[in-house]
Amino acid sequence: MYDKEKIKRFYNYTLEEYNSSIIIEDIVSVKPVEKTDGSFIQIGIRPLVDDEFLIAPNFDERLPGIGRIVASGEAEYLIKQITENKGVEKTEFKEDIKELPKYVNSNDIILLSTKFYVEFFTKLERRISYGGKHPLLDMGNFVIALSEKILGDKIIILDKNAIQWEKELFNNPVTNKKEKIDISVTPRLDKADILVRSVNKIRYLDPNSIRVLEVKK
Amino acid sequence: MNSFLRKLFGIDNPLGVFYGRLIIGLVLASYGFLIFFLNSIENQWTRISIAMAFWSMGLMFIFDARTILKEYYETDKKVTLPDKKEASILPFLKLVFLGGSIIFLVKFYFAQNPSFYPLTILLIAIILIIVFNEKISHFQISKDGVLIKMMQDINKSYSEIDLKKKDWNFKIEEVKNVRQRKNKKIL
Repeated sequence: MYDKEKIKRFYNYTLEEYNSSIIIEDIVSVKPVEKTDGSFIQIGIRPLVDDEFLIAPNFDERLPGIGRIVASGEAEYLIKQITENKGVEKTEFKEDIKELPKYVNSNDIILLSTKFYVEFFTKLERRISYGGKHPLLDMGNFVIALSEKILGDKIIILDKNAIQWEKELFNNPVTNKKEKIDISVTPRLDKADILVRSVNKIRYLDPNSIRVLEVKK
Repeated sequence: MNSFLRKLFGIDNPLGVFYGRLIIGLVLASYGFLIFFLNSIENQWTRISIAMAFWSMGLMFIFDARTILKEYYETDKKVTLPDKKEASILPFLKLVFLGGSIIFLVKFYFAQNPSFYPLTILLIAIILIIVFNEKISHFQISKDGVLIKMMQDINKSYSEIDLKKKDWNFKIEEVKNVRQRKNKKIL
């Protein structure tokens, strides 16, 4: 029998990790929904792990990375949808990175591959302000850095309202609230069947408000 | 401490750095002319060598000031300046400075009853250059170091979870079961 306190701590930790890693809400307009149809996409994990971590007191009940993996998966899915959308303008960018602001409209969001991270923040250092969750270019454009493994040689510039993202809310038995991810643990012999997922749908994508710069050097 | 030093050296104020560099450059280059009026130096080659060292040092500061001003107009004022390829004169000036200093020190070593006055000024000027450049490059290095660390942290965080994806059966797929699983048995 699982230790209920450990399960509660597992739930809280997973939820906290997801909520602190979620990045999608900073990039697109997210609308929470309670009902879904068959066109939604689930992003998540379903590992079968030894259940000792939810029973034995000397085992840590946390699974580090479990919330981050879902949050990062959402960003990965978003980038895939943008880059594979044929209507989105893709431009070769051969200039110096300090010329990037020419392509940015006020209040646009810049998704920057870590490949250009140091160069970007060094060359534009006087136009960057820090203090919030993400650095700001010219006091108006959030610069959100994503791993080179997700973005590669690309820089994406988009309006926050260019994409409307729907996210299903789930009842959470520990917080007794509706939460953005579904967490569940089901015993399977000596294993715990864990499910952590978010269910999402891109309701609307305006290709004209998104620009993909493919950096060529 | 860092913010105090940044203010002291005007790191965040490019125009301040420009004026600072320009003034130091002009003072050093002017001192190169004053050497010829110093009676304490008798040997003409000693005068010429130390004057060369001061002129080159002064010009190095003036050229550095010019680079800072150019950067100020390009980044702060967003003025697009013509992208002319310019041969850098700095390596030549560094050679002149080194040559002048070495000749001066050799002459100074072999001089009878030498005056310590020009030597002291030269040493102070060299120390000033080292301090200024060291402080500035220190900030550059630490700033780049922080950026590199932040970039590595983002990549590391992604790599860590990327490794777990397979073990944890990570999937992005169409929803097969819309209904939420029940947890009542275990909670």
